Formats: sequence, C-alpha cells, structure tokens
Amino acid sequence: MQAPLLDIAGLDVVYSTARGPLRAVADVTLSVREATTLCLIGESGSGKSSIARAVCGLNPVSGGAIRMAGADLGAQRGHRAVAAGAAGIQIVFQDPLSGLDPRWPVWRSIAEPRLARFKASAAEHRRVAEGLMERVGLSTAYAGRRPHQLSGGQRQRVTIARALAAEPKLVILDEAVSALDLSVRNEILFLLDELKRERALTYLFISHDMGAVAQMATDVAVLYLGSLMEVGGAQAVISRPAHPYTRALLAAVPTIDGTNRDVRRAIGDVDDPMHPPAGCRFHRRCPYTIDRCRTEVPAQRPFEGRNVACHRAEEVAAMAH
Amino acid sequence: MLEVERVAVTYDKGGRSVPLTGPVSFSIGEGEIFGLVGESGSGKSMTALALMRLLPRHAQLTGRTVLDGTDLAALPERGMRALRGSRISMIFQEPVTALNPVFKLEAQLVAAIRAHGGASRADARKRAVELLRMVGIPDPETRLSYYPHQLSGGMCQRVMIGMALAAGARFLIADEPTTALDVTIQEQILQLIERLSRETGLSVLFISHDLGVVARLCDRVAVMYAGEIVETGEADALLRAPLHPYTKGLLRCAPDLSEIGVVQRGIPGTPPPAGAWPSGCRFRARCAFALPLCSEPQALADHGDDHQVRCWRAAELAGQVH
Repeated sequence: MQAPLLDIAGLDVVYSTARGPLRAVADVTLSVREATTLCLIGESGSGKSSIARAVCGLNPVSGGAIRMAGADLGAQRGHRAVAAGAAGIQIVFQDPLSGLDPRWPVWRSIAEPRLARFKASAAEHRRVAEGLMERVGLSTAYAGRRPHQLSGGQRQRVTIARALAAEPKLVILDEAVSALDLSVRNEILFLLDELKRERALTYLFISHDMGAVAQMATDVAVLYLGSLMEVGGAQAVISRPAHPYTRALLAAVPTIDGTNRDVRRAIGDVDDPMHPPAGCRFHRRCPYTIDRCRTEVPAQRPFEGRNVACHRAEEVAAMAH
Repeated sequence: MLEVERVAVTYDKGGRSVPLTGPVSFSIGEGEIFGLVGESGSGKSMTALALMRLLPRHAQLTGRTVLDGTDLAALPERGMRALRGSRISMIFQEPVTALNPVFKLEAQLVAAIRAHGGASRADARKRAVELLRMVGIPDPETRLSYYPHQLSGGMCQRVMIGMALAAGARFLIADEPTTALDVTIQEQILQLIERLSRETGLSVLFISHDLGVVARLCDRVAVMYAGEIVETGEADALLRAPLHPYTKGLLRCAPDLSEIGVVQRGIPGTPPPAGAWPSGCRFRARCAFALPLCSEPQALADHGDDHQVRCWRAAELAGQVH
C-alpha cells in the first residue's frame, strides 16, 4: 500500500450566506495515493468543488486538516493558496478563459507559474512554455496568440500546459472536460492519462460526467450534500455500487447498450443544503429508508471491498440482486 | 407529420453566400421522438432555429419544412407567429434563463395560454394548474405564485415544457433540454418527454450531443457533421451497428460504465468551419479510412431497413471493428 500523497481528514467547509451558514462539506475524510486518480462524483451541491477549492487553498477550511505528503497545509505560513502551490498542487477549471489573462499571449500565461519561482530570461521562459505546448499537442505557432483566438479544446490544453509548468505533484481537474464536445473531451482525457503515466502525476478528478469518470478513475468517492456516501476502488464502486445513492446516480446515466435500463428509477430533487435532513442525508430520497436512517448518521464502514455509509448495505445488496 | 426537405441556411457576406448548415432532409411522424445528434458547429441547432423561423436577420433559409400540410418556410412572418406555440414549440438548454425572473409562474403561463385564443383569465389559470400537473410539478396551485428562482433547474424545465404545450402545440423541438441538469434530474425530464409522447402523441425533435441520451429516448436518429446528415435510421439499430466512421468515433467516446480505467481516444482533428466545407465527404480529412474516391460528391444511401449512410466505404467497412 502506497502512502497517500494527499490526505484530507475530517474536512469541513462552511460558507456564510444571507440565509445563514451553509455547511457545504461535512466531516469528509479522503486520501489520494501517489500516481492514482481519485474521482469525486455527486449531484450539484454535493460539495465536490468545495473540496477541490479547499485543497488548493481557494476556500476557507472551517475544520479538519489537509496534508500533502505528510505536511499540514493549514500550518504553513502565509496564504493557503500559495502554500498549496508550493506543496505541488495545481488546479484546472471547467472554463479555461477564467484562468487565462485575455491580454497575454498564451506562452506567457503558460510560463506564469514559473516566473517567480525559476530565475530565467524571458526567452528561456518562452522556450520552456513552447516545449510544454508541444507536449500537450498545441502548435508553437499559437504561442503568441491571445486566448480568445483559440478553440475551447485548445484553451484547455493551454491551462493544462500552465498547470504542468509549475511542476506539480497533484493536479485537481475540476470539471476540466465538461464544457467540451465528446471527441475533443476524449482527446484531452487521453492526453491527461499520458501525462499522468509519464510524470507520475496524481489527479483529483471532479466531474458530473460518468463516462469520463469510468475512463479515468483509480478510486471513486461519492458525495451527497457534503457527506461521503461511498468510497473505494473504481471497479467496485462503479460496477457493483453498494450505497443506494451511488446506485441511483449510476442508474440514471444513459448508456448506449442500456444495460442499466431495468434498474432505472427516478429519484426526487436534491434536498435543501441549508437544511440537510437529520440522520442519513440521503434518507428522504432513498427507496430503502427505515426509521433508523432518519435519526442515526451512518458511519463509514468496510463493505465488499469499499467503504460505505449506509445502515442497510447488506440488505440493499440482497434485495437488488 | 413534419417533412424537412433540403433545408439550408446561408448568410450573405459582402455579396457572397456563405453556407451555415444544410441541405438537410428528414421526416418525423406523429408521436415519434427523433434525435438530431452532432458536436458544436454541426448545424443541429441552426436547423432547429430554421424550422422555428427564428434565424438571425441576415440568414437566408431555403428548402421546405412541411408541418401537417403547411410549409412553414414559405409562411409570412405573421402566419408563422400564429403557429409558434399553437402548432410547434421549442425549449432550450437553460430553463432558468428562459423564464422571466420578475414574473410569477402564473403570469407567464396565463400569458402563454391567452396568446392564442381568448380564454378568460380564470379559465387560463385553471389550465395553467392542469399544465403544471401534467408536467409533474407537485402542488401546482401553490407553485403558480412562485418566481422562477424559487424552483430548481429540473422544475424550471418542467415548467418550460408545460408552457411550450400551453397553446396546444403537437410538435416540440427540444434543444439540449437536459444538458445543464444532473443525470438524476435529466432522467426525470426524459421520462416526462417520453410519457407526453406516448400518451398524447406529441412529436419531438430532440437535439443532443449525448449519444447515451439519444439511445435512451429516441425512436429514430440523424447524425450531423459539418452541416449535413451523415447517417440516419432507427435509433437502436444505428447505435448498435453504426456504419459511418464519424458515428463510430463518437460512439467510442460515449459513456460506457462497463469498462473501467480504459481511456478511449477521441477523433483527432476538428470539424471544418462553416464555409470551408470540402466537396465530397466533409469528414474525410479526419477519417482513418479516407480514399481519393471520398472527394466525390455522395448521397445518403440505403443500407438495410431504415438505415441510410453517406459514406462510399460503408458496405465494405460494415461490421469492421472501429
């Protein structure tokens, strides 16, 4: 068993809103081993992006600890985002335009993370940036272009090159391929997979796109209203989901062969995150709810090769087969 | 019910006519759900806007779109306006922005009902409650006094569908109606569209980039690439045994939860932009099977029952692993 590169322990993220405090992440414990990909899945409001932003220091951490290679990021001096960058964490967002300066030629945006950290001439920085462009499949003829002159797929390649420029250990991909067309998306996934092997990168991959998750994941963590429902190896969680929420989520994914069609079942709307239900947070939408689920928060426990937070995992497995 | 014949959209650029999409031909029967699939820029949304006659001002529409005997493309704007909502309606990707944020649902639904025919305000309100119930909004009387922001994205899309059908339209164009929604909510909306089609005979042109959604919902399907249909037919058969190399490439990328940890390559390259379409096969620059022959113009040709494909090598490549 490899030691975890990223270790998230009892993480809480609480936002203050006009309607009061919103607990977007509630006591989540996760770890990501080096050179693997952990995928976070769940509906809108599940807390996946809040976790990602907390890890790279863009969100306040209200409780718990985030450790990178054993070092507590919260204990570092200065801004959390700077500490995260120094610890080797980079993030790629869904909308590449939001992360690129519209006035800069793309080579400069790619080189930016290096400007402060590596002393070199402008020509040298440009040479490194162009080398990264070639690596991510962009012609160096684009080096002097502005972001708006590139297509969506090309821009996302620019932000990936920029993340690589910082020589990261962990790359957070927050819906990084969600805005792309299917064939472009898969070309980017293929590139990410190559880069991961070549540079022993570790990914925290966040997506609502289960097709992309199935292709990329080593491990999968399933979140609902900020709480962890199920976590384990991708094969176990996707092929044999144990938590009723994971089952419902995967059954709703339309696939070509329709193998999951017979278990398809519409579940209601997401609960109000301001007022999460007591007990198991999923109990109002769960077809297997009993009284205990309404009062007692289920603990994470090992079940068939993964961890699941469900009082009735055994019975659900028996009923469903 | 709807016959689309050689519909094309062009625009005038300094005296030169630049094609935006087409020509495209297909037909949709009563109660049929027809999927139009393609990537960004393939022309699927432009074709839908052409059917609704909602094109940008400088765009030119040619071809015929015959809905129950009326050629929509030939109608004057006034005549078309009378049919929008009463015969043909359209819903879009962002249901929350499609509703007016400053009016309650009641005002918006009543306006849609009264826009065609002179229902009284009280009757229109009753009809609004029926519509909300029909599209599966719980407690519809209370919801009438809600503003759009008080509803979830899925509920807003239900309201949009209700509003689209408020004045009796029997033909619905749905342009990526579930793309902005979570898969769980998407499934609810797909079930609603399916139910309306089966129970009331509603015909649907369903536009999507998601082949899984199309396989889940549609009876027949057409795959568009660079402004033309490259393959069309009965949805299940076509998606199980695609013939066009482009369709095969798209399907390779489609969600497959039975294969974990294997990253599939996409289709290398990008589609040619509108106006730069080559003669012959428009996909040939990206196609692994292209031959010199592929620069010759080609028509959609029959390959079995209700399955047509625009590829010179379709028969030869059939059954071959993509």
